[in-house]
Amino acid sequence: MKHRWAMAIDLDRCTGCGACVVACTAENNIPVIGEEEAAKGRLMHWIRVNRYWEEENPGARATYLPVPCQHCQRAPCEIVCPVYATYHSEDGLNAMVYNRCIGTRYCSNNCPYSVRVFNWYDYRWEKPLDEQLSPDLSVRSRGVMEKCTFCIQRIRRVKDKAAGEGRKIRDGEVQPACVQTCPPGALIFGDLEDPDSAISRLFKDPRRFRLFEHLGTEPHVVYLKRRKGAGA
Amino acid sequence: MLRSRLKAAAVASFLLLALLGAVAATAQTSQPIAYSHRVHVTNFKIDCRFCHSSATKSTSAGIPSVEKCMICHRAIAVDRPEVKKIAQYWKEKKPIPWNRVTELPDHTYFPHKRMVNAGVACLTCHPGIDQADAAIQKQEFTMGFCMDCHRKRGVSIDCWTCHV
Amino acid sequence: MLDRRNFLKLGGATAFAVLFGGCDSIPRKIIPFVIPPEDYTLGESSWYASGCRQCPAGCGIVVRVSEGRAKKVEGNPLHPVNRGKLCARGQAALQALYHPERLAQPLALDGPRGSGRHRKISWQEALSLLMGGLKKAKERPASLLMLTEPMRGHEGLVAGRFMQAFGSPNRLAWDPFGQDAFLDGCAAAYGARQIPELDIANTRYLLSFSGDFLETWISPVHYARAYGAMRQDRPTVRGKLVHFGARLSMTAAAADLYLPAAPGTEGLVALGIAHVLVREKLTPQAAQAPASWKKGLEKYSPGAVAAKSGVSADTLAAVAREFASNQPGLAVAGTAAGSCTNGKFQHVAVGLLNVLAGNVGKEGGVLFPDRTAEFSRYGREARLLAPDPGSGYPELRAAMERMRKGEFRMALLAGASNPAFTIPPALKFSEALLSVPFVVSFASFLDETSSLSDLILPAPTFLEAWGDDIAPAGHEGEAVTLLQPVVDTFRDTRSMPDVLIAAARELGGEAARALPWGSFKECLEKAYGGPGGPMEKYLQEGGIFRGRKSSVGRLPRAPAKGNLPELEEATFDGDPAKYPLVLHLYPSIALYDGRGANLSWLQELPDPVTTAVWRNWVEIHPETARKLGLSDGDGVIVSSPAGKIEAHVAFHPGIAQGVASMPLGQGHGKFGRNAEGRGGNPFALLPAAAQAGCAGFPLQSTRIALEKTSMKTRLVRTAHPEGQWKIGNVM
Repeated sequence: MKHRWAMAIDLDRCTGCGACVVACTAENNIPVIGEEEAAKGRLMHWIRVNRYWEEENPGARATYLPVPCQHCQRAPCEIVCPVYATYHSEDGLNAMVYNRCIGTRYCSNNCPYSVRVFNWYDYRWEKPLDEQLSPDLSVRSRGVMEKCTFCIQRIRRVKDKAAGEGRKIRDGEVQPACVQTCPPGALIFGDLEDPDSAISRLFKDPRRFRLFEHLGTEPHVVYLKRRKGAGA
Repeated sequence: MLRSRLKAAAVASFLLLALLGAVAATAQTSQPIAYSHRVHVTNFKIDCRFCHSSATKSTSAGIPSVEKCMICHRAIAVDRPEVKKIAQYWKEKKPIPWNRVTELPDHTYFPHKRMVNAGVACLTCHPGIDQADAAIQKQEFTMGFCMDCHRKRGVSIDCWTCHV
Repeated sequence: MLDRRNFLKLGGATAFAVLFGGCDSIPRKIIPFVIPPEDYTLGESSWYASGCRQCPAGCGIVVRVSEGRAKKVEGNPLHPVNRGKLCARGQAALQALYHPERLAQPLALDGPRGSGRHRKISWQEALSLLMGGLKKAKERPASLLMLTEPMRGHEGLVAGRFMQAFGSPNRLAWDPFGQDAFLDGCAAAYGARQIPELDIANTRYLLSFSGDFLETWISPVHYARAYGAMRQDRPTVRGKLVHFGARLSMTAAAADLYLPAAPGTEGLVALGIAHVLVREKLTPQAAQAPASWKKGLEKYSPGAVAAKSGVSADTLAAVAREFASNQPGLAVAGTAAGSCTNGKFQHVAVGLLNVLAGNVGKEGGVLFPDRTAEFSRYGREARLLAPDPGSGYPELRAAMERMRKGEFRMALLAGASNPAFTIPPALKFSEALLSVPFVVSFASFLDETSSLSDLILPAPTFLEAWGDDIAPAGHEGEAVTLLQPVVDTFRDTRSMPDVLIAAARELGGEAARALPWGSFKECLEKAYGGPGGPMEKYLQEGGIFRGRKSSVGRLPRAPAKGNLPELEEATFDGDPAKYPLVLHLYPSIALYDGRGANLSWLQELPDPVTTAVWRNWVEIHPETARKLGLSDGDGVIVSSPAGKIEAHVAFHPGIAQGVASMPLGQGHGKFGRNAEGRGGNPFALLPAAAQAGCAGFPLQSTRIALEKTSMKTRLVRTAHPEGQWKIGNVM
């Protein structure tokens, strides 16, 4: 069964609350680094919420833009990895193999979206916080690059379940942690191979745009512009 | 599935299956009870899945509970010294601290249920276990070993199939 | 253990074999169960339904449990409040459960009172100390004080009955973000003193008056879900959001139109809109408004309102017309409007807009379901299970006076609202509490309040406890949430209701008759028909959800004619010459009132507006900063007539000049490593004097001055302090 996973982010719904960030942290064994390391720009979050200011009061506006890995079809990170630690998976995902990574950080340097994060240390989970660690995926060690996987473990869980029940995966059945928790429903996830899926429709929405479209990276994340106006 | 904890008994503490390193293939590990796979599997023709009952429904094949041992050994071979040890654990309501024999390499996801339900025989990956008096890992789980089989069966060889 | 990098350094197959051979010499055990629990498959996880207690919103959750450990919290898709969704604070509940600093054993004072020095004792000793105190207090029953956060469900019943049977009327609940002004406003505007259901999802035009319904107000996940639906769920309608307020908050950022208004003038702006509605007869209800309203509203012309609020007259009139022509519309006021000294007036004035638009009791407007119907069988005791979500501030002030007079012999404290942190220090809560001879806390952590106690009884987190809950908003009276221990507690804890039930049994007599159960679990089983009864199903689903009722709830009686609210102006403590800036305080979206400050996931969550982490700050307009000679990131002493704290300056282009704002939640002196030393506590700036006419806890009630100082710390932000590059560049 072929899949092409993709995400849509509706900026008309996004409120910037950060629930996605903490849900991702809980799901993906993401370490807490502390204030000092954060000051060096080393936050390990796989999804961040950018905030943009425009103008000053009166007339100030703020816009939020959640940015996970864009899972580019033509990914700039993949072509620079000397050891093939980052590659394109058969489901169209931009995958990262920790076993192979030797920490050159070329990929992160070449990522226009700055969504790759690097393990500068072996981060520790003080006991008993380690009890919370997910058994579905590894805890990355020092010197390894990591990034959003579209919650590959959750995709796999659904694949396993569907295979066990001998059926196809239903639209909306796969939900990465960020999509699952998003209170206003701004994040939508699905399979572009399924022409009837919600995500396939949203990829044709007139409000759609992609980040840095001119770079030709062909992201699997599409954004839907905020709309203006009252009533209708 | 949502479950109620009204009935559920206390979940005993359980060591997570620590995924550590590769393994040297030949070292024999001593066990608290001299359990023989040969006697159970070859002589008495007990299906592997009778004891390793979660192999068809979980990532882990599972180690039988003391209760499960006692289903048979309440009546069978009760005078054998090794079986008496089981009875002792049962009497004290203590789990048997088996030593790990089979190791899965680091950063690897191996769901037993996917293999077993696809009809891969247990002996494919655990050769000779049916003849072993003491459990021993004869087949080292190198990536080549896994990939050979995946290629032959035409299943996914995507990195993320096994490595997360 | 060998890692990959060393392996690469070594290279070669020989080194590989040798090193891994060494690795294997460490024996590793695999331990099977003696008796496997029912329904248990090794290696597969189960999901258990329960309820969230990270804030008072009362969302439903499901928790993924693998090998007896909780791994992930998600919203319960069946729960009407949050329908599967959950906020950052709810997601972080796991960190409280597995917190390294959790109390594992009862503690008794070991040093002078208030020193915070304790020694570990056994539960047996702890309970005998507790009983000793209770028996002594029993000689004069009214000398027992109970101070908790508002308790809902049967926990409230147990606590309420215990105090009643004990003979003490002194049971207080403290919530710094209580809804006193909103409740009073609803009573005056709609004739119903309850939290109405705001039907944001079905509205076409939402007017927010310093609303913070997307951040922390009452039921943020429920409102955010409705907000998403208002925007994009209807094929041809997209609801518009207009926000008035002194600060561009996260909710304001979501608005299509953000109109800065001076602090405390939200109600005035609402009267200005009402003026236009009535003058131009824009809605049927406005056209039929009583003569006294027409006359009363005359003085609030957009021009007059503009002079005081700063919202331009033309814009105000345009918004009023748009609001009238896009019905159903909805007007909502939030924390900042309601916690001014004129909070009640502001809520009444905003409620007037819903009345004039004819949206009371209508879809897309304000609805009044009877949310306590589920508990009506308890008669008068129903209030114990579903109390008003007020702050309890006036009662607490009065009780502190009585503490100082020595009227209390013993105090029982519980809950996360941490009065020693959230009551302004100028009121000297700690001193008052220490004049009670014997103070007992039920707590999971040592914080400012529990560390003052003579006896601390370790309590389970909500993920390890039995309970039930009724949410203050987000359902139509058909939902009760059930909480169950999703994991077995691995600390030696006992819940407050369990201890109270045991204490009542020991006291005997009336107390034992009032709490006739063996445990709190048994109390819930009696109430919901478990085990073997319907409770089994309720627990599986996470509660009792009866589905939407046919009616939208009882309609309140029409507001009294001629009941036009009289304008009240907000007052701010301090001389404007000495304290030039009005202080705007708001609950932090991550830390709430400070209860989240010990969780590192929340400390490391960038604030939506400043993108700051791990520390607090004071937001000012760049122009204000220029006038004061301050730069972004500078350390400043923030001083009010009541107190002084330190903070870092964060430029905020979307805040009114002459206003400074600070998030609440940081500034802990005693709440563990993650929380301590993160800057000053802004609660310390609030005045001690009672604010005349103020309905609740006045968060917006002081002016401040900023003075540059040198600080060793720095404010860490994920975005560049001068702002991100323009959004147009990435689109």
